[in-house]
Amino acid sequence: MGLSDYIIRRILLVIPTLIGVVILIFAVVQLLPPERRVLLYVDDPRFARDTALAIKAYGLDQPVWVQFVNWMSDLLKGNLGWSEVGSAPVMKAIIERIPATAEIVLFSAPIIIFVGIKLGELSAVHRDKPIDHVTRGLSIMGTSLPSFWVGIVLLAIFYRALGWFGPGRVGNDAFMYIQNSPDWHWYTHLITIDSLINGQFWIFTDVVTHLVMPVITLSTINIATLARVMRSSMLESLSKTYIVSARVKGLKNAEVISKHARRNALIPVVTLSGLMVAGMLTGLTITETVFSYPGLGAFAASAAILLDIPTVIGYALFSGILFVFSNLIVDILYAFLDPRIRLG
Amino acid sequence: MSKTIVKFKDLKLNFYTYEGVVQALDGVDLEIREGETLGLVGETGCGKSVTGLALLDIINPPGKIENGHVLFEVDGGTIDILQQHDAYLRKIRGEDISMIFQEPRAALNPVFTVNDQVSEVLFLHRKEELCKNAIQQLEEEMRKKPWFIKRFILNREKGIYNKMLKNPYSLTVDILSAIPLIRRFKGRLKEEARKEVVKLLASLRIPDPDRVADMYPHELSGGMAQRIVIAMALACRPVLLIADEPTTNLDVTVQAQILELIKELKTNFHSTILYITHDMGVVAEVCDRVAVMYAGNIVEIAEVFEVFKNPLHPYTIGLLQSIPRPGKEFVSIEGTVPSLIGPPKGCRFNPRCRYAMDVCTRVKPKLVEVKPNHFVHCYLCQQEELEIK
Amino acid sequence: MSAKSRFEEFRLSLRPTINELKFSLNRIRKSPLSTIGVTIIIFYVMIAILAPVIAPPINYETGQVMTTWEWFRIPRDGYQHIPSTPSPKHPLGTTEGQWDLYYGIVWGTINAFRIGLFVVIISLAFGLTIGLIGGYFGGLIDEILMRFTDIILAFPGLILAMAFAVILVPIGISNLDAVLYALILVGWPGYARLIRGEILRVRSEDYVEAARAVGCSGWRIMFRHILPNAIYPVIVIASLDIGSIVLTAAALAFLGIGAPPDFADWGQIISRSRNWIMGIQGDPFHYWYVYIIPGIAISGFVLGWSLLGDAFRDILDPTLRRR
Repeated sequence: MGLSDYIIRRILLVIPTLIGVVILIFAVVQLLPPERRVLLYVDDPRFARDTALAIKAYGLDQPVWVQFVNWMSDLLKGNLGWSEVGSAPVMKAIIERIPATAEIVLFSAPIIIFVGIKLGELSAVHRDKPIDHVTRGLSIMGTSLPSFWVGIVLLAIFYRALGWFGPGRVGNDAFMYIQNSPDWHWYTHLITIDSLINGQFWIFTDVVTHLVMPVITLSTINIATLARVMRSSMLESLSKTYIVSARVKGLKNAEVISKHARRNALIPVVTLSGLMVAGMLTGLTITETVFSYPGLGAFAASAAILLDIPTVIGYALFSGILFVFSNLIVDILYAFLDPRIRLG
Repeated sequence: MSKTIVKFKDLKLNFYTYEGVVQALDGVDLEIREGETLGLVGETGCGKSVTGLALLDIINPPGKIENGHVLFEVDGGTIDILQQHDAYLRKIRGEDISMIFQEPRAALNPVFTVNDQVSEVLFLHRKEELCKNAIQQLEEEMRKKPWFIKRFILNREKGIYNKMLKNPYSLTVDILSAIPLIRRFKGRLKEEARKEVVKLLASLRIPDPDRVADMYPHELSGGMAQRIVIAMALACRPVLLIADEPTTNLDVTVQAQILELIKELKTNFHSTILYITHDMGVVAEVCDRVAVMYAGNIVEIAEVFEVFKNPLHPYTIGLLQSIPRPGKEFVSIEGTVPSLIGPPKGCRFNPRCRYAMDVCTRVKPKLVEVKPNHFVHCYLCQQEELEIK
Repeated sequence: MSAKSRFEEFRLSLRPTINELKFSLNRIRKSPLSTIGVTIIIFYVMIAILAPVIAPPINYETGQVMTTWEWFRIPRDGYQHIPSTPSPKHPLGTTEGQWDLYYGIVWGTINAFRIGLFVVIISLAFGLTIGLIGGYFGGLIDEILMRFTDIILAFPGLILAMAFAVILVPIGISNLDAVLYALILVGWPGYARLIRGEILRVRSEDYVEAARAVGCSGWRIMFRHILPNAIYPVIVIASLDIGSIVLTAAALAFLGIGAPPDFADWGQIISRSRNWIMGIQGDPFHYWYVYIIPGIAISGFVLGWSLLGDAFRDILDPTLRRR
C-alpha cells in the first residue's frame, strides 16, 4: 500500500471519530435539565440571566434532534456558549489562553523526549547495573508522586524558602509593562519569544524563571513514563536475532545499539507519545492550577469548580479534537517508521 | 591433508540460570580444515549453536566461557579468538568469519531495506574498494570535460574520497558527513555499494535483484530472505562460514534450492563451512566430514561416508538406526537427554548406553583417533582398538 | 480406583502448578523492587484493617464512639482556622479547621483502597465484558464496540472525568461518588481495548487452532485457552491502575471536585493544605506536616501498587519468566 495511501485512509477514519466525539458530548449534556443547559447556547450575557427567555429563544424545549441540529450549526459557526468564568464567549476565552499553555508545552516537550528516551535506552543497555536500578527507581517514584503535590513542595522550597522562582506567568513589573506600555507589541503571543523580539531581556528572564517550576513538574512524570516504556521496548529489541546478525557483521556495539536496536525500539514509543499528549493536557490542568499559571488548564479547572458547564464542555470538546488529531499524526509517523504497517 | 584453520581446544561454557548452572559445553575439541564442509550434528540442546557463537565470541550473559581456546589461522599466524579485544574481533567478524541463521526473516532488521543491510557489510569491511571505485567514477566524469563549477565540485569530492582512502576513520570526513548539503557526497559511495549488492544478489540466483534490493524483509519469502542473509554473509568473501541450521525453517523444496546454492559455493569459492544441523540427511548431502555432538561433548568425528558405514560411538549408532525407513521397525534410543545442570558423571551418554562399563560412569573419556581420521569419545571403541592392536 | 489413589493423582497433577507458584514467589523474593512493593501494600493493608483500633472513631466533643456511617468523618477539635502542630493529642497535627490529621491519614487508607478497588473492579468488569464480546464475535459487533470505545478514548481522561463529574453534581450525586462514576466511565474503554487486542493476538496462535481441531466449543476455547493467556497484561495494568486511580481522584479533589473537608480522603487533605505552604514569618516550613505527611501517604500507596504491577509483569508473562 504505500505511505500516501495509508495516510489518506487514516485521515478518512478520523471523521467518524470526530462525529462520535461531538455526539457523545451532546448526549452527556442532555443529561442536564434545560435550565442548566441554557448557558451552552447563549453567547450574549443578557440571556444568561433570564433563563425562561433563553429557553424560548434557543429552542431548548424542542425535541432532541432539533436541539442537536441547532447545536451542531452553532458549533460549526464557532459558538460554544457563554463562559461565566471568563466573561466572554467560550471560544474566545479558550483561544485567548492557548499561548500561555503552549509556552509550557514548547519548553517541556523537548526535555521530556530527549531525557526520557536517553534514560530508557541507558537503562536497557546496562540492564541490572547501577544506572538501571537508579533509573527504574526514579521512574517508578516519578509516576507515583501526585503532580500537584510535587508542585506544592516545589513552591514551598523554591518560592517561599529560597525565593528563586514564583507562581504565575510573569512578575508584577513585567505584567504592568506588557499591559500598559505602548512599546510592547505582540507577535507570537509567546512571552519568551516576543520579549526577545521587543528587546526587553529582563522580561525574558522573568518569564523563564516563572516557567521553571511548571516545566519541572510536568516533565518529571512524563520522563518517568517515557523512560519505562523505552526501556522495555529497547530490551525487547535487543533480544531479537537481527541484533546478533548485526554483531556478526562486525558492527561496533555502540552502532548496533544506535542504528539497529534504537530504531526498532522507538516505534512503539512513538505511538505511546500520542497517549502522552493526553497525559500532558491532564497534567497541565493540575500544574497550571498549582502554580496559578493563567493558562487553558487552570481556566478549565476553575470552570469545573464553579460548575461553569459551558466552559467545561467547550474545553472537553477542544481537547477531544486535539487528541484525535495528535493521534492521527502519531499514526502517520508510525507508518513512516515501520514499513510493515503500510501493508495495512 | 589440508591445513587446519580453526581449532577448538577444551572449550567449556556455562549458563548461570535460576535453576542452576547449565554446563552447556564440557570441553569441546574440534578442528576445521581449509576448504571442507564440516557438519556439526546433534539433538536440540546439545550445544551445537553455542559452539558456533563461541567461535565468534558473541556469547551473552547468562552464558560464560569458563575455559579453553578457539584458535584461528590468520595471515600472521594463529590467534586465540577468546583472548582478543573486541576491536580486533570486529574486523574478523563479517570479513574472515561470518554466520547465517535459522530464522532468515528474524535475522534481518525489519525497518531497513535489503540494500541497506547488505551494503552495511561492505561499508564496514570494503570501504577502500568502494572509495577506489568512486574515485574511478569521478575521474571518468571529469574526462568528459564538464564546465567549471561542476569540475570544482568533482575535485572536492575526489579530495574527500582520497582522504577516506588514506584514513577510513578520519575525523574530517565524519564531520563533513554530518553537514546536510555537503553530506551528499556520500551518495556516490552508496551508489557503488548498491552496484556491488545487486551483483551479489544476482550471483545468488535472486531474480530481479534490482527490485529486490529496495524491498523490506517482511516482503520477502523465507527462501528469498535466506538468500539475502547468505548474501550478507558472503559479501566480503569470508574464509569461514558458520551455517546454523539455515534450512530448518524452510519448505523442503526451498531447502533443496538453498542446499544447491551452498554446494555451488563450495565448488566455486572453495569456502570452508561449519554446517550446524540436526538433520542427518542434509549432512549426507552437503558435508565432507561430520562431528556428532551429544550433551556438550563431541562424541565422534569422521568423514561422512565413514560415519554412515562404520559408526563407532553408541550414540551415533543409535542415531543412524533411528532414521525411519519403510518396512523397518521403528527404533529409538532409550532414555532422554540428561539435564545439563547436574549432568551424569563420566561419559554423559552412560545412562542410556547399553555397553556402559564401570569406567564410563566415573571418568570422562577422551577424543581418540581409533582409525585414520576417525575420532571417538568412548572407552568401548578405544578398548576394541586396543584389542585389535 | 480407590479414593486414595485418586487423591494421589490429583495431588500429582497439581505438582507443576505448585512448582510454578514456588518459582513465582522466588522471583518476587529475589527481585528487591518486587519485595518492597509487596511489603508496602501489606503495610497499608494492615493499617486499613487495624484502623478502628489505632485511630478510634471517637468524637472529641461528646467522647462517644461514632456510628458506622460516621467513621469516615474526621473528628474535629475546635474551630480554629490555623492548623495545629503535632502534639500528643494529635500525633500528626491537624489541618485547617482542626481536623485531626492522624485520623484522616489512617482512615484515608481505607478510603484509598475503596476508591482504587471499586473503580478498577467495576471498570474491569465492564471493560472485559465489552472486550470479550467484541473479540469473540468479531465482525460488525466488534467494529461498533471498538468505535464506541475509541470515541471515549478520544478524550484525555481527566478532562472527561471532570466534565462528567461536573454534570453529575448538580443532579444530586455527592461529590466523591460523582468522581468515582466519572473515573469508571473513563476507565473501562482502556480495559476493553486491551483485552480485545490480546484476544485477537491469542486467537491466531497454534494452540487455539489445535483446540478447535480437537472439537472444543467456542466458549470453551474462549475461557480455557484464550482468556488465561490474554489476561496477563490486564492484571498488570489493573494493579498499576489501582494506584493511579487514587492519584487521579486526588487530582480531581485538588481541582475542587471531591470530598468535603471533614471526609477522610487523602486528596482532599492535600488539596486544602496548599494554603499553608507559605508557613509563617521566619519559618517557611512551619506547617510542613499538613502537606508533607499526606503526600507521603499517597505516594507510598501508589508506589506500592506500581512496584507490584511491575513485579506482576516480570513474573506472570510466561515468555518473560525465565530470562
